[in-house]
Amino acid sequence: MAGGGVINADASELLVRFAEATGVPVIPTLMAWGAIPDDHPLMAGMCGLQTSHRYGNATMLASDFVLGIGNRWANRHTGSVEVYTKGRTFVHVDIEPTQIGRVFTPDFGIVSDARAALELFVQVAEEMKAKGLLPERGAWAGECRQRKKTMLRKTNFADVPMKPQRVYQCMNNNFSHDTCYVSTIGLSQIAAAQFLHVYNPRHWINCGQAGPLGWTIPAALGVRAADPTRKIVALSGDYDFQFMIEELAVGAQFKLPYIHIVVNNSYLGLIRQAQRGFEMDYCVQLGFDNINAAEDAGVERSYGVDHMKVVEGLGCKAIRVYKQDEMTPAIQRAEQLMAEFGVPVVIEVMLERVTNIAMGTEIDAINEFEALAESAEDAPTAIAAAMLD
Amino acid sequence: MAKMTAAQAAVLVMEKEGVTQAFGVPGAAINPLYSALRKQGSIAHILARHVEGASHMAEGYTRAVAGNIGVCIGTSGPAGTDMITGLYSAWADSIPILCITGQAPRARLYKEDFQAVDIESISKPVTKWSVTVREPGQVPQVFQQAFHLMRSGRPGPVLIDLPFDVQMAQIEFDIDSYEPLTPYKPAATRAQIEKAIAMLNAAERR
Repeated sequence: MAGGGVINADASELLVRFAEATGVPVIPTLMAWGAIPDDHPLMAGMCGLQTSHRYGNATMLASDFVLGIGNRWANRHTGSVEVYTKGRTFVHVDIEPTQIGRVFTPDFGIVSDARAALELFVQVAEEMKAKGLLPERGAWAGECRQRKKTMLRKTNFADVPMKPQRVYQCMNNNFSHDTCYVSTIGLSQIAAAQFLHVYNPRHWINCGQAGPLGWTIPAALGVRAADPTRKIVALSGDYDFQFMIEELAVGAQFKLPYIHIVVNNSYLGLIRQAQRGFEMDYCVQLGFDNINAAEDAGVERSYGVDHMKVVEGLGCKAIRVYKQDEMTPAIQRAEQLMAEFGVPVVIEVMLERVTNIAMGTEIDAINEFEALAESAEDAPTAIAAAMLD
Repeated sequence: MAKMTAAQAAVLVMEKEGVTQAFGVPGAAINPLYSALRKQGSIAHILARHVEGASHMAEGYTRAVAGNIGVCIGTSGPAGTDMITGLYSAWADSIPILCITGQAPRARLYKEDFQAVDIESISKPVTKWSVTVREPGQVPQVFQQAFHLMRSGRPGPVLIDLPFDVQMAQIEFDIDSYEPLTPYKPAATRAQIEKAIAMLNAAERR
């Protein structure tokens, strides 16, 4: 179990070396996503209540031993401590002494910087491996890979307005492995964790615990200020996007280009989904008839805010997408506009209004609201498609 | 030893600690620091449109590249409270950012002065350290300690609140003899790692 401490300590390479030496699969937390590339044979998927994979949870539940490094057993990663820890032995390595045992008492705790610990983990493991003192774990790793190949959610929908799953499929098809994603919170971020792929450390820039709406635009600008050449793609739902939309002007003024995908369902989607338990759909709708749109303008009128006009008003560029065929040309056009003008380019995707994304209150009881993949064609951009036996 | 304003000393320390980029929104109570930033010219500044935005930019800047520490700057009063959300976000995910705020002059504290708020207390639960600097001569060491704390142990944000007259005061400071402190990073022992691997080896999933 790799946590954000592995990223902070810049120790991702050591993590992968340790996994390879021992043959033990890795579950990254949301903060460590990218520490081991998604297509690495020992990347077992993410575990959790929301930002997780079906195969990640299944592998966690099938395990009998967990070594956590630089992680904090966040509640949206564990669900209840009882389900999470039942039948498993835990070792916890953390840089902060008072974090050991804060959520649950591990069988063994080590206070250490993640890099310092991993340097020794690699050294000891490689020495033991050379002496034949490490057990062979190929069959277990193979079981984990089999889950990763088969326990998938469907993305290949053809509906218009688009379903968000298909948007992520289009993103996987269009954005290369060196893409750095920036996101905040909500259904759009949860689905991103379920469907997108990250291949490098610090290429999933996400505020995990606090999740302040509005974070995405300024954080993406900060990433751009730190790295003038990185391929940056931000992802927001419409409400996160609107929360601090004025910061787009900073990108225009200081020439801080990046691509921003806005999935617009004109809803506080995650809260709408959470309100199902209260049998209400109350104060979460963002749609209204925009009086500046034509009477027959459809979603451009009924979804309320005209993001195209606002984005252009702030000195950036915007493209609106209604269906899957338009995604690839829109992304290509966005890349051209960024190169030409050096400003943020927003691609607004008009989504269906209601999509319930998989989540639950226990890692062994995740509710699947949408279709699962029954064949490889249902999830053509899942890592499984690229996995060879 | 050279004479300079405490604000100039702060800029020199930030420069030596590796800061090349700041994000912020200027205001009357932080103008001495902005004046020092302008004169020194070594730290670029991106003007945010909302002070909260500056704090999230700083967090994105830190997360992007190993070793980076994002700096966000605002004036007194609402600038600091606007950045509390950014401090919370950075605190929650163990991301170091340095938040600098202006403050009313020391003699005007506790008198309900215009835009004078106790940001030191407000930010305490979401920072590794928050401090209103009361002595101009302490400014260089406060910044030194801030960088030491942000890099040591579990990383996290620090807030430094600078009263206007503290920024303006003349102090003696020699940047040439200044050195960043070595961060504290506890390290596992070989015996601990061997024990952990022995426990891993006992796991039955093979």
